[in-house]
Amino acid sequence: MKVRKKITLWIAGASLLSTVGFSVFIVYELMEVPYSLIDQELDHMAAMLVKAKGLNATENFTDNISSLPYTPDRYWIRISDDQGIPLYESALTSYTDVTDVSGSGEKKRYNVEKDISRAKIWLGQDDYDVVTFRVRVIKTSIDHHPVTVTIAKPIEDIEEEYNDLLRKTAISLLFCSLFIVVISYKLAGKILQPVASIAHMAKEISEKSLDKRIPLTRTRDEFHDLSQALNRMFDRLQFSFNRQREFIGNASHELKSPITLLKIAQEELLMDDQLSPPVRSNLTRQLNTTLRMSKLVRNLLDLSRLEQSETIKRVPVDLKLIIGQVLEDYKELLSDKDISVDCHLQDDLILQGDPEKLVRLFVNLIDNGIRYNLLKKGVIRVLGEKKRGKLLLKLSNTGERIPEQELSLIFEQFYRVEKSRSKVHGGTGLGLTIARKIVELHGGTIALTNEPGGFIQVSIFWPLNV
Amino acid sequence: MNILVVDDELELIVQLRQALESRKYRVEISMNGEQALDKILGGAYDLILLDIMLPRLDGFSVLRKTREAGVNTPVLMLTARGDIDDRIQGLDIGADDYLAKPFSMAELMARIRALLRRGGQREPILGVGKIKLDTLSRTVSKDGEDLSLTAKEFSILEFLLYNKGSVVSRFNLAEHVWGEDFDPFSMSNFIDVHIKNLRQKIQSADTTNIIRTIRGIGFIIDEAP
Repeated sequence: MKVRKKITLWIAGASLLSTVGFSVFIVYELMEVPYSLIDQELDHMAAMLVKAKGLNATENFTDNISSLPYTPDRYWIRISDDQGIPLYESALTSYTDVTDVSGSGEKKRYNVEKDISRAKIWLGQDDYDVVTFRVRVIKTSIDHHPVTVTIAKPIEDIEEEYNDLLRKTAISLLFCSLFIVVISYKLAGKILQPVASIAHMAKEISEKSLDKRIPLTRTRDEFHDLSQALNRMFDRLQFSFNRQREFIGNASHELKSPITLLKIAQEELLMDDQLSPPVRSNLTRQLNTTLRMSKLVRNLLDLSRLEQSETIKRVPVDLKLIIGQVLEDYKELLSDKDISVDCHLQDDLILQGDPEKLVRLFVNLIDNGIRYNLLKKGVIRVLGEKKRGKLLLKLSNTGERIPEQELSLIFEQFYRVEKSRSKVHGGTGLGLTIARKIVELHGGTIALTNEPGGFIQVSIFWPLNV
Repeated sequence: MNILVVDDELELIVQLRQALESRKYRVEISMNGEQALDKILGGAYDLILLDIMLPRLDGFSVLRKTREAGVNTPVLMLTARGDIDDRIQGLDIGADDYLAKPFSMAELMARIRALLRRGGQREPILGVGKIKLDTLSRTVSKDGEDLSLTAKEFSILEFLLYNKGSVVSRFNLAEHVWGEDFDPFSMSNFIDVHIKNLRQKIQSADTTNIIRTIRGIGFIIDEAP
C-alpha cells in the first residue's frame, strides 16, 4: 500500500501546512489586538487630558481631571512643553520613569520593563517585581504651544495571556495533526478503494475466464476510464488469444490432407514385397514419422476443438464400465510391460457427460500411467468413489517421482519433466493437456501428486449435482 | 466397379486413383462440387468418395442433391474434419460411411469393400475357404460350425477379409482394432498374439494356414492356393 501512504502524506501535509499557517496568522493578529486597544485607550486618555488642560488655567486642572471618566492615577502621565519642562505629572511618575532612555526619543509607542512595587500599580502585594509598561508618546499642542504627552500603563496580564494563547494553539495543533493524519489515511483508503477492486477483478480474469470484464462505475470518473481501458485491453487479449487458438485449429486442419497423402503413398510403397531391405527400413522409418506427425496433428486439433467448445453433451456415463473397457483394450500392453492393475471402483459411478470424451480422458491417463511406469513390476491403481456429493477418481501409477515444482506444469501443452526422455517414452506431449480440458469441460478439477510408496497420482473431482 | 473420387486436392486424387486402379477399380475424378454433381446425376457409379470441403458446392450439398434426385449410390465421406457433429450431419443426409483424414489405404479399402457389398444388395457375408464371417450378426463359422472369437479377433479377421488378397500392415490392423484414441505404435506389437490365437481357432489339421505372415510388412488372407 505504498500509494496509500503517499496519498496520506500529501493530504496530511497539505492540511497541516494550511492549519499551521492559519494558526500563525490568528496568533499574530490576536497579539496585535490588545496593544492596539491599549494604544487607543492611551490615545483617548491623552486627548482628554490635553483637552482638559488649558495652558494658562493651571489652577483649574485638577478639577478638570477629576471630572474625567478615568482616573489619571492609574496611568503614568507626563505632559511637558517643548523645553522639556513638565506641565503635568501623574502620581506614578514619582515611583519610576518610563521615558525612553535609549536616547533616540523618537519612538511613538514602545514597551519598557521597570522594577516597581506591585502595590503602587494596584496589581497585588507590596513587593518589587519587573512590570512591563506600554508607553505612548504623543506630540500635540495646547493653545498653539507644542507639548509632548508621555502616557503609559502596566500590561503584565497581556504577556501572560499571550503565552497562554501560544500554548493552547500548540496543543490544539498537535491534536489537529493527529486527527488529520488519521483522517487522511482513511481518506486515502477510500480514494484507492476502486483501484483495489479493479485490481481484484483484473486478477480474476485469467486465461480461463477471458470473457469476464471489470464492472464499470456509474459515475464517469477516472476509475471509469481506467476500467474501460483495462476492459479494452482484455478485449484485445481475448481476441488474439482466440485468434491463436483458431490458428492452431486451422493449421492442424490444413496439415491433415498432406499427411494423408504422405501416409497413403508410403503405405502403398511398403506393400511392394520386392523392396530391398535398406529401402524398406528407410521407408518404414519415414512412415513412422508420418504417423507420429499424424497423431500430433490430431491431438492438436482435438485440443483446439476442446478449447473452443464451451458446452458438452450430457448423457449418463457409467465410469466403471468405460474404465473397464479402456483397461481391457490395454490388456496386452499392460501384461507386456509387466504392469499389474489394481482397480477398485464403486458400482454406481454415473457421471453426466460425453462418453467419447470420457473414453479419451481415460485412454490418455492410463496411456500415461503405462508410459511412465517402472520397467518391471509396475502397478496401476484405480480408485473411484462418491463422497459428499462429489465423484472422486484416483489413478496412480508407480514411477519416477516428479519434482514438486513441476507437478502443475505437467498439464501444460508440450511440457515434459525431462525433455530428453520424450524419445524414450513417446507420446505427443498433449495427452495430459487434453485430459485436463476434458475434466474441466465436465465441471471438474484434476491434480497431480507424488504419493507415498513411489506412486504418482492423478486425482479428479467432479461435483455430482450438475 | 466404378468409383467416383471427389476431392479438391490434386495430389491426393492422383494417389487415390493410382491405389484404386492397382486394385482393379475403374476410377473417375472430379475436383469441384458442381462438376461432381453433374457426373453423379449423369453417370452410373458403384461408389462415391466425397470430400466435404469442395469449391463451388460443398460435399454436404452435393450429397443432399444426389439423394434428392433419387440416386442411391453408396457415398463414403472423406474429410479432414473429424467432428462428431459433421459425422452425424453427413450420415443424416444420406452418407453411408465416414472416414476422417488422415486415413490409411487399408482402412479405406475395407470400407470401400463393405460399402460395395451393401450397395450390391448381397449378403453381408465375407469368407475365405470354409470360413464364413457374418458382418451383421458378428459371427464366424467354419463348415457351418460356429467359432467363438473375441471381439479383437473378430475385428482382425473382418479387416483382413475386407482386404482379402492385399497385405495389411500390423500398424493398420492395430489402428483398426483399437481405434484412433490409442497409440498404434504401442499396440501393433500385440497383433501377433491375436493372430496366433486366431490361427489356432480357425485352422485345423485339414486346412492350410490361411492367414499368412509377410515378413516385415504384415499379414494377408487369401484363398488357399
